[in-house]
Amino acid sequence: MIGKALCALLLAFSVITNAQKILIPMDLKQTDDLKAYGIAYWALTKNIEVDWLLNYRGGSFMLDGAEAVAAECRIRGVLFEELSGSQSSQIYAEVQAENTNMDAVRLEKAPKIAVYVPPNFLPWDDAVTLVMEYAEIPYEKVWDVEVLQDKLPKYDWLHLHHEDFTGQYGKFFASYSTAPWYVEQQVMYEKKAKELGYRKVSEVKKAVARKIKEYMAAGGFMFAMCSATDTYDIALAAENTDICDVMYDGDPPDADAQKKLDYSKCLAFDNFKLEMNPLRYEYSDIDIPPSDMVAMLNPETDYFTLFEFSAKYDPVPTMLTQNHANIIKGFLGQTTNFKKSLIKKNVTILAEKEGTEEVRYIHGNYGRGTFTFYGGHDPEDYQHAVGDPPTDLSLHKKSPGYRLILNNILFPAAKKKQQKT
Amino acid sequence: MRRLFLILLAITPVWTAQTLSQGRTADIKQRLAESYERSGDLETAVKLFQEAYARDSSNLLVFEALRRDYLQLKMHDKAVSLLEGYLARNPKDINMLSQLAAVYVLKSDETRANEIWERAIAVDPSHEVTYRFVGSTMLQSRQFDRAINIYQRGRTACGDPKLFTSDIAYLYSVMLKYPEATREYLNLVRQNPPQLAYAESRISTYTGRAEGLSAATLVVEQAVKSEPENLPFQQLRSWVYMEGKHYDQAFEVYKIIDEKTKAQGHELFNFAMRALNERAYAAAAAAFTYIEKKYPAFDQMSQLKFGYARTLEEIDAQGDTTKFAGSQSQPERHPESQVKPLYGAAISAYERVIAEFPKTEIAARSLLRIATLKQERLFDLDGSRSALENITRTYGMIPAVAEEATLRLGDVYLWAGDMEKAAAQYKLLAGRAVLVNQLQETAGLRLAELDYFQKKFQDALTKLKSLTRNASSDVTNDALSLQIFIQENIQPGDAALKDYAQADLLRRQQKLPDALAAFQSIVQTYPKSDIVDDALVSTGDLLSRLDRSAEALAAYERLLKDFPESILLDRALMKMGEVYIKGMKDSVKAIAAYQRLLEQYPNSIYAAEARKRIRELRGDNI
Repeated sequence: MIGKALCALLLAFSVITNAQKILIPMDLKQTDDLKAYGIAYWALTKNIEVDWLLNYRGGSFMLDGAEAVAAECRIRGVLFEELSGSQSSQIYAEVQAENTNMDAVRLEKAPKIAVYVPPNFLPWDDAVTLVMEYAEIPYEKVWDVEVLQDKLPKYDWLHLHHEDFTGQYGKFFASYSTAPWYVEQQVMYEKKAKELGYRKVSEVKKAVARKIKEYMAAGGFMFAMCSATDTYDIALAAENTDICDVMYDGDPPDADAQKKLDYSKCLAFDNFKLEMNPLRYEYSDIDIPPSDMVAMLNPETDYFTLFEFSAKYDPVPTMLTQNHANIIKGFLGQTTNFKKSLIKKNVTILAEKEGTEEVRYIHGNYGRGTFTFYGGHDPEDYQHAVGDPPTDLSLHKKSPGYRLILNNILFPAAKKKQQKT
Repeated sequence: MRRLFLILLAITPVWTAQTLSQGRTADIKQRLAESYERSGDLETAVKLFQEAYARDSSNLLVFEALRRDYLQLKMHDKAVSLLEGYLARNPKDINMLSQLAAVYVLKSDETRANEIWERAIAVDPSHEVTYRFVGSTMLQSRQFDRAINIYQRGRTACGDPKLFTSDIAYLYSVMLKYPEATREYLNLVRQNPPQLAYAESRISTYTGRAEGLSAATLVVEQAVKSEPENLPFQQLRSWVYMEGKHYDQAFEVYKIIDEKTKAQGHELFNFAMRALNERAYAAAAAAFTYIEKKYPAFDQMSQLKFGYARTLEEIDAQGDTTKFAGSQSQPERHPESQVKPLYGAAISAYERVIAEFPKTEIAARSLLRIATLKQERLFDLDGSRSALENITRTYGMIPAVAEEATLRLGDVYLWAGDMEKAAAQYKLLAGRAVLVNQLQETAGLRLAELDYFQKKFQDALTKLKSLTRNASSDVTNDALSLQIFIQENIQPGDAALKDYAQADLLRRQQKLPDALAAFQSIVQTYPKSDIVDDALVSTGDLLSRLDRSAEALAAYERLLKDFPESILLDRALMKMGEVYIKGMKDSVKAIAAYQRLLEQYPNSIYAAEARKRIRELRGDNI
């Protein structure tokens, strides 16, 4: 009996030791970190098992050692290591040991991704779609019509582009009110609002913001960058008031708009003060430093720090902060950082500029879903201006700033683990 | 009576003082209200303005301030009352009626707004200003469709079809209604032909979009059909055709324009040159021919004929599959050249230029083109040499052309095997102390190569050393490459290198079958030599050029198998991929070759290109 058990154990062991695995390290050795996420995603679409080794060599991926995986890594320029069964077992043992701050998370399926983006041409680029294109992660586009028609539930993950949910067209009026793209955008949005039965664009955007909130409540994952972060919360808070001036919606704002804000409806921010000057390129005091004071920043010394979390007890923030560097160079945006004192207490801060009020990266739960806000416009373009050419990510294959975006794309694929008590 | 007079006299100062005092108080209160307004305390400002207005409803400043602040505070009902109060006293004030209508829009009462706007129009329905007031408040309320409608009504009512054209056109383009916008711009041009450039600039804001371009084209064509004599319309038509790259159609229109403007061929010439630059060769050739026939006295005939010759050259080049001497094919070509050998028509055209415009720069350039074609495409070295010698003899006063001819003449002598004469030509350019331009540097490299071909390896190395000092020069890479090659293979017994140099010379002279035999001989004669891997690569390259793909692959495979330490292996795999694609038309094997490169040489300088080719062959959508 014992002999049979021993034989079975040996047989199992030999199967394990002979099974090949491929490790995609994500530390400084990796040649193309961004495409590595694409490989992980691609593997999931091919029903190949992928484990995310949190905090192991920068958040490496372990995959079944199919030749197709190796070939694809070579073709995409991603560094990989072929491991024997015993080598991979050793790594798993190390990662799952109690005395290490590491863990292995099984990625189950490739998340279905949607990007909320208007159909018209905009003279700037979106970092999230740029990196998804580069990493070859497919996505679909949705806009107001699809959101209001309840199409969001078919997606696992939603990115909000750089939309201004307050209905103030990005507050570009002062600089670009006569630019053809701005004029067309306004006409198109107004036409669409009318078709959808709304008198104002701001009303449509508020309705869309609420729909997105419902999507999160039902289990959706939402990711926003730059101005989509604070304007989203502002739109939720301003549900029962008008904060848009006459050039945006044809009538002046509510004189008591500030008093009528309902912060309880916001996801992340509290007690913020609106910027009511329609000619100022700012929405509220959430954004820090203000957009018209960025000349005081020095790109050479502008960095933010990622926090470290417990891989075993806090897998979600751990996944979101996987990186090969924990001090990351800063980059500006219409919304660059979030003022710490205005962030709700139940929101997790993932990265900030130490010793200051400037928080860069936050995450929270809503209902059964989650949201992540990441300040700034483009991690590899310090100050991206309207009309600038898009960033060439082949020149930034190891961008730590872009890795944070990709962490968010993969994390919905993670199998939910029972939390340790 | 006197008593009454005295009483009046007594109370007058008091009464005047009181009135003045009241007036001053009112002034102060108004200013106070304005201060509150400026500071943002609109509620207090409104209260004060209301008091002021109650005292004096004729004060337009106060009236305007109240109107403004009511709207700011969204007190729409009060704004309506204020305006209606004013209109009760001034019922024909069109501006105020329009403003009242705009307030009703803010109240979402569009029915009432329309009634008020109609009331405004009814005040003076045949005056332009009426429609401007009404239209502008509609624009403010972002009622674009209505604004267009009002402007159009204004035109009819005022009996002036020219009214509001720019406004309507702009509104249509903003609303993405391209056909309508184009029609309005055509109206503008019709009314005011000097506005053509403005109309083109406005239409160009939407011709970047396919639907905008096709709408504009269609509308302009229709307009021209109904008004064929309208020259600005024709010009607009030619412009949209060029925007859409419809060169043949544009050519027809340019004929008309040239005729109507009496440009004597200049409009057509500009079109022909643009078509040539944009590679629309058929249209360019047709245009050049047409101008020459129609305007025999054209004042830029030399440039025209040169342009035509260039066009014929480019047409033949498109179908030229020549890889080496004797391999020329006879592709489909321009009608004029069908009875002539390849480039025959172009050469004849250049010769005509030379004959008709001797001793000009155009003639010199024509000769240079002939020489180049004869050398590089037709392998007629004697013909090329003759043309180049003619240039250096006759056109020395045009340095730009003469220097290029000198360099090329050196190349021709080299190809012909006359090293001494080749060196003499190169020295004319490179013999100066300082090399100041690209041609001189190239001549310097040629001199080094001559030494190499003549097996004077040390002399070659000396020359190459000085050439590699300037890192920003275009010839530095080639010089470095040759320098390293010689240094690696020069040995006490350098027989293999000598044979290699000889084979290389044959290759340079385009004697490919002879060069191939020479490289193959090196492989057989010096099997242990370090130079054999280079010889195998050269063998493979030549076999590929000679369309012997299977043998080329065999040469590269032999290199991979027999020389595992060679630094040329990744290059061989790249070349195999190319042979599989172009020679064997086998993309599967090409992918396999590139994958092998990635697997075995992941750090190769060719890795990125190999990846790119795999993705292209796989049809990846990146």
